[in-house]
Amino acid sequence: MTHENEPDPDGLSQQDRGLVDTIATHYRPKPMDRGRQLAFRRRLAARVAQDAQPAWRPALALAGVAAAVLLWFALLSGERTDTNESVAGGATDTSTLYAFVDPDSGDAERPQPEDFLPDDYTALASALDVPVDDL
Amino acid sequence: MEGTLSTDRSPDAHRETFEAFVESHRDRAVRLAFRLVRGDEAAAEDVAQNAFLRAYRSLADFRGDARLDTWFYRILVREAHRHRRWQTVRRLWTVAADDAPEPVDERPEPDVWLRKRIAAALERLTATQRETFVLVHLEGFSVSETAAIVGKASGTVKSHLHRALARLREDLADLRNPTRATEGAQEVSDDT
Repeated sequence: MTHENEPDPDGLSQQDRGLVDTIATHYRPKPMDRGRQLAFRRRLAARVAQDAQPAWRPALALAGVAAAVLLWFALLSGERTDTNESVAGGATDTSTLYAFVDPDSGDAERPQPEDFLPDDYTALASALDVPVDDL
Repeated sequence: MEGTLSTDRSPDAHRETFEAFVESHRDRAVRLAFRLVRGDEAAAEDVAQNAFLRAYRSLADFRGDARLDTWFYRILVREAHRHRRWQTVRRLWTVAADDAPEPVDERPEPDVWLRKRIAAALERLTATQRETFVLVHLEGFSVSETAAIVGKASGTVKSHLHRALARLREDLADLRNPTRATEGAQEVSDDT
């Protein structure tokens, strides 16, 4: 005959042992059948095999992506620099602009100041013998 | 084999050791994970898989200071921790979805009713109380093995065990008498 509160080898009273046994019996997953066992093993084997792939493969793929991104940035910054240079040059150098508008035209064909002035001013300039540029 | 590692450190030997280890520890690993992740069977299998994979990756670094199984269950307990943290974060992000009422189980099996009660009672324990209780009382590890698995001193493990049991005694008082527990579950079944 055992006393109700007599501790068992684990140091539990009989009532506590009852509680632990009830928890152990009712709080467990369904036993794995053969199908689930096989699925578990296959899934794990696939993950292990994937894990065993040479480390240089993902590294190589990453390096390729990095190179493509760097190239893209390099091309983009190159384009930006070219545009800035052409705008700056055009603003300061009129002859470059003329050459850009009409590459065939030389200095002789370029419009002269008298072409922009009214006829009266041109006549007055010639009468006074003053260079048109000084008007 | 159990708790030891072959001295042959070739990849083939490691794979063989690993496969044999998985075969002999799969059921216990899934069961332990189940008891640590709120009784979710799918999550328990995921946790066990992740633990086996982590163990495989680190098998070459295993120095043999501890038993192989103790070392593995330490990995598994950490993996269960990680899963629970991730679940908590997910729950925080999907609060609205979680507010929806749970589908009503029209005829809960007595076993399901008991399982839910036990899961809820274990959830009320602290993480270390739950882990030590499950490892020692439900999985049959010794106090010193449990101390190695959870990374605490044996005295600390005993103290956590004592508190865990005291709390479970309060929460599941009716289950201390197995006959009454089964009757209670049967009553629930009859009521529905």
